[in-house]
Amino acid sequence: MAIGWWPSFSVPSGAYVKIDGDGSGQIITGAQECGTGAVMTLRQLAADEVGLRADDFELVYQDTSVAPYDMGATGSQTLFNNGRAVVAAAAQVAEQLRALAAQHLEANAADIVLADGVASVAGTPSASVTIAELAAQAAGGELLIGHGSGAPPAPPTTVGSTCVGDVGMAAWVAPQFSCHAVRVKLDRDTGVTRVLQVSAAHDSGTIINRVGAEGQVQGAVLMGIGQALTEGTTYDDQARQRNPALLEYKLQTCADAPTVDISFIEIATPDAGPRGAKGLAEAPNVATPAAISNALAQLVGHPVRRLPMTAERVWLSMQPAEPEVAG
Amino acid sequence: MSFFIAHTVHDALTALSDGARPVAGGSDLVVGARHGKAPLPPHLVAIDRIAELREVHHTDSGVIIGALVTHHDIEMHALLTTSYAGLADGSALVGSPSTRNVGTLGGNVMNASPAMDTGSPLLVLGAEVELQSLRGTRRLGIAELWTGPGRTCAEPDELCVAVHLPAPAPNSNSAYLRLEYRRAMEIAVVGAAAAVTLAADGSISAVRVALTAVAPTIIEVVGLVGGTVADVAAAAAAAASEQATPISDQRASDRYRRHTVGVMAGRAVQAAARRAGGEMIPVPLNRAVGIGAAS
Repeated sequence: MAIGWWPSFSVPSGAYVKIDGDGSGQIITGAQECGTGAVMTLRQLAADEVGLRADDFELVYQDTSVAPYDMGATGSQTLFNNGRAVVAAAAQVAEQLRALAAQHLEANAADIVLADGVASVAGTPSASVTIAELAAQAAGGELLIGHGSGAPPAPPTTVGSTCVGDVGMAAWVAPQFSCHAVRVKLDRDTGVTRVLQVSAAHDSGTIINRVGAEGQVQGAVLMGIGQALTEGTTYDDQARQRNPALLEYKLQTCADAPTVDISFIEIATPDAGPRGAKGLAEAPNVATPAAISNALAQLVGHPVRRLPMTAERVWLSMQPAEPEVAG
Repeated sequence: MSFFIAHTVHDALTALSDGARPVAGGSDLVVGARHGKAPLPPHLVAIDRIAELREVHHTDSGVIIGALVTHHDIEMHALLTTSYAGLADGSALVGSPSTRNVGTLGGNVMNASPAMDTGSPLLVLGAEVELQSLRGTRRLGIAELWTGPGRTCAEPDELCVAVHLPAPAPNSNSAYLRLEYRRAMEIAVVGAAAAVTLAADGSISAVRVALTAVAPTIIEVVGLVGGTVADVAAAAAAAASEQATPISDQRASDRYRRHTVGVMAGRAVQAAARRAGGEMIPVPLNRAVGIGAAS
């Protein structure tokens, strides 16, 4: 078993959101989808804000000089920072829609509810107009365009002298916590270790897209197992990588995947991202190798000191008075 | 560059005699060329559409496996997975499902990699390869075929058309086990196959053991004699470690290979004896006894 922590980096990020005359929406952002789930989650955030479906939105990929800035898909920060920007941009479009609907329905803009593709008056659902109609109307007048960034939350104040200083404190904006437990089986004659089961509990705040979030944990646990057992670059005496391809740099495969039980601990965190969400994708890499290492240490009686804990290293660590393998 | 599609063995042999090289599944030739291991030969003859080479024939004297029979065919074949289980253990471990669907036994044998998973099972099962050319046909023991890593004694105009396995003796069976760091897309770090025949008292009366990826070719362990299963397994393990001449590379050190090939040899003898005694251990043995898992 092991615990993990992952930061939320509070940094600037921006997005444009627009809805065209046919009722379809676009999110224009410097954030990119490369397996992070942004393509699902950012659309969900924008759609919920304006009362449309995620499918009504597309994420527009373009040169980053055209889109508002984002730090990129690193460190599991897209939802925390760009999600905040998308919500802010979509909120401006929602304001425009409420104003248009208020004219149509002769109601207060503040009383307009945007949901299920329809703008209606709170408490009087029969008084309604479709958002597609409003979008068509806007296409002939003031266009539905929003821009957003949102203020990045400030880091906790440093009180006196701390061992981590201001830089370290910045990492404690809305931190994520995790705890993983693993069951492993060791073949003592060869050192081959298999991970049979992983239980992963994560506090990533509010889970916006559960299917996507579970996928992030499944994938990251597999990568964590790879880090623990098989993935490692090796170099020759000329500093050239000896395993620059996937034949010898051994990722885990589907056939190696254990059962992964996932629990999301959804508790409120001060300064969390949109709707109380924090990041997730990289966090399950943290505790997985540590939990495997701790489990192996129980089995062999001592820690295996080098990653990856290859079969040969595990076996060698069980041999009397022999140096560990180099490389 | 020329590329010719043969529909008969005779077409293929004619192309080979004109200097073409054969390609079946392409899982060694094409993949090797893409990775810069060796350029594609300038003249290729595709043999994968020669239907007669895709068949498995069960005869009174044993089984004849056509050169184009794929690893998937072998791992699903009712007779091969039971009476020649060691071979099916090996085929079922090759690469991935897609590799096993295109990779052929003939290609595997003629590629002559010392790490091939079907090599040591074929050796302990007493396999012979059938080589044909326009000049005639010859059969030779599979150990004679392999002369070094990636090298065989076949002439350039000879095509491997079949692998012959003798009928197993009563109360005999085989097993192949490999050390693997992961369960798919893996190349044997070391491996071992055993074929055993049991006497009436359950002891081993005859045993053959061969080793994978610990020498320039697949090698057979020499000097093994019968005895109790436990004694033969221990002797096979010790002899395998002693007779192996492994290299150190990024997959493993020579010391680790020498040790683990002994572990594989001992376990292969144990599993072959259980099968010979009538126990059904499903193919592949690696999953059934679970290297690094339940055992």
